[in-house]
Amino acid sequence: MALDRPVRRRKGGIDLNHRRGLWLFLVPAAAIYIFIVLYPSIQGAALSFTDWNGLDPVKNFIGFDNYVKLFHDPKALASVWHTLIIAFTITIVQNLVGLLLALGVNSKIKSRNVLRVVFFAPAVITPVATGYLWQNLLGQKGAVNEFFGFFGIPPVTWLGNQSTAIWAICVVIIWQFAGYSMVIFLANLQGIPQEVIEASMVDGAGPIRRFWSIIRPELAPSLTINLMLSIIGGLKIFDQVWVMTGGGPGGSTETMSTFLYKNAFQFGDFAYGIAIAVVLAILVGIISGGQFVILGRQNRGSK
Amino acid sequence: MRYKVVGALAASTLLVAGLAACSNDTGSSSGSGGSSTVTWALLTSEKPAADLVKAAYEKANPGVTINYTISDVDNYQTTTRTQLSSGTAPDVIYTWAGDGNPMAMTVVQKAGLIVDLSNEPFASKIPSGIAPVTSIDGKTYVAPITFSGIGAAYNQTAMDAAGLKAPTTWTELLAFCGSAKSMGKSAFALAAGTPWNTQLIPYALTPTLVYGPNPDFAAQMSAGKATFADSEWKTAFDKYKQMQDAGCFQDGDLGTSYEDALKLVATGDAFGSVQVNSSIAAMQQDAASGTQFSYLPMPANDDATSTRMAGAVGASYAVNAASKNKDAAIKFVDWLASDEGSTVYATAVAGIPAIPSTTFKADPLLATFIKYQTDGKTDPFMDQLWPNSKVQQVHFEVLQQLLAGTLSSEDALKQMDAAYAEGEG
Repeated sequence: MALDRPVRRRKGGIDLNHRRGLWLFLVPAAAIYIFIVLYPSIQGAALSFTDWNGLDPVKNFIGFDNYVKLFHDPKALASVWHTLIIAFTITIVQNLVGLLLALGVNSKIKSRNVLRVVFFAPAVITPVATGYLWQNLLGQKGAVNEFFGFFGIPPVTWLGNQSTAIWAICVVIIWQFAGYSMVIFLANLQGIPQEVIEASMVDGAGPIRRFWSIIRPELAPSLTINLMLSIIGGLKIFDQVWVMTGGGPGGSTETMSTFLYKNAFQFGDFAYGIAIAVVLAILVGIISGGQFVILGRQNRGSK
Repeated sequence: MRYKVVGALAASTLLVAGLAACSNDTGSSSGSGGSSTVTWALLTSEKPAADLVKAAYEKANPGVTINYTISDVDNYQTTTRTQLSSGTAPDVIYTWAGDGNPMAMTVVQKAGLIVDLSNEPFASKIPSGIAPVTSIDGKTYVAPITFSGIGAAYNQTAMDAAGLKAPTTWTELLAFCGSAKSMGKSAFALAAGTPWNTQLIPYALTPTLVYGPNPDFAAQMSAGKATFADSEWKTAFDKYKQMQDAGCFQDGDLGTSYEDALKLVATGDAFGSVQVNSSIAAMQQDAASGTQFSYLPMPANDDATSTRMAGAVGASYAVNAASKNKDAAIKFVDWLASDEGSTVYATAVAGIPAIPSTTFKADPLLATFIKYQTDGKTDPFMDQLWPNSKVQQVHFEVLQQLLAGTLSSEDALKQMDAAYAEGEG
């Protein structure tokens, strides 16, 4: 009899109250979120309409001047362009590599557990540490040039060349986070019922056909998460760029994050830095929101 | 719209007030009891001095505790600016002399954040050469502790072994580069991958080319009567590029970091590098024991007698105007600038005191540099007289482009002129 009561509750009219009660649990977290994230963010954003230099007690309201300046500043526009290059390159390549790794370690090869750890290991390292590590590896006398030297390829100044620096940074980010994408894909892959795959094998489907028609549609949820995470990560990339090139050489790897940091903290133009940050936040919102809607539609379609 | 401003102001005031209330009271003092704690913020480059200064001062002043925090330049500027604007900065703060830097004296003084030190004993002893960068309108705001130079640091052991002599004229310098190259080594290691290192060669060349022949150049610039592009700065940039074209630098100079460049000199793969004198200590650490170094001016023309060096106030300290412990903080700064304090400090960082000290014995390595200082043949670091910190950052960036061959020296200097014209900020 005692067991019956909760069941009846769930079916009865008390259900509504019960649900309303659940909202109460949100209050503490929401209050903290509003207090330490939302409120200061809005306050900060308001500073972008002033000429505050980060120190002076005096702030003057200057309307949209900082935003107008931003859209006429070739360096700011170049930083937007570099940010987009990095974000899209790593989103595509990192997920492709991550997916291939996941398919590989999801197979029956003997060393798969070791390989999973090895591939995921770089994701555990602090981005700043990987930055310094690769700055050395990519140096004139670094391991990468030494390796190419074996094949008679002359050394390349990877991070000191305006045409290679941005790609070198992309490679480092992909090296670090492909394993992260792999883990998410792997979790999804392991949820695909083995019987379906076996049935397709019996029906004579080869590995490619099997991937395209059976596995790929099932991967939609992990693909959504992975694309979202990598594009947001790419848009706000800072650490690796800051450590490896500091935005150089000659501004060729300046991203929105490094550019806003320089303006806020090195040029004493705090308000302008914040204006760039606001534009970056809007850009991230639009791109990730758009992506979410499109992929959400696909997810429903594939089911 | 107006409502919005008021709202933003009120909101940010609230935030600042909130931060101030929440923060720890770092500069506390027990007042009359005689025991007090002075908080002191300094840079990584000053680390060798921190413990020795603390020990010496605490020994001489029983009951006083010095609590220091050390951070790297970028972090230091960010953190200290934030602390200053919210009233929570340490009592004694590392403050760059002059202007042209986010934590420079002029910048923080303008916001009313540092104390006037004009009546302190050291103020009257500041040499006239550096007085302009330690005072504003005749009032002293920072205590200059060390004096640093920019010159060519050579691995003398490697030079002797190769039978090479340090060049004293521009022609000799180019020949030196050629000889080094023919031995499969580089004459100068250049760390153009580390932004601030790109400026060192122009800083070493312009005293001879610009500021020596025309001592009023900085004043003319600030009066709007001179520009970078229409000055001998162009010759300096062209010579920088000429050095690169002549093979003076190692391959991949734009991808070389500061640490790597020092290692190249320490190991003798490069014979020298144009550096701040404090870098020699780091080179010595990387080098085999017994390796001899020399530190000499960098020639910029063919008249060796006209050669000058960049020499300027290195470490300097200001007292936080919001400090709750002002008297103890000022007393500490007085000691730092005294004969005794500056000797301890300068010896620890392998530098020389900014205010000549009777008790100081210099490293013989710095003899030439000290002679230039006492002969008045030095000019301040150029950025100390620039109106905003952007000029220096643009300088770093255009130099990388100049070295990469994607920007002409003229266009590079025009970009610096544009940043200069933005004025105070």
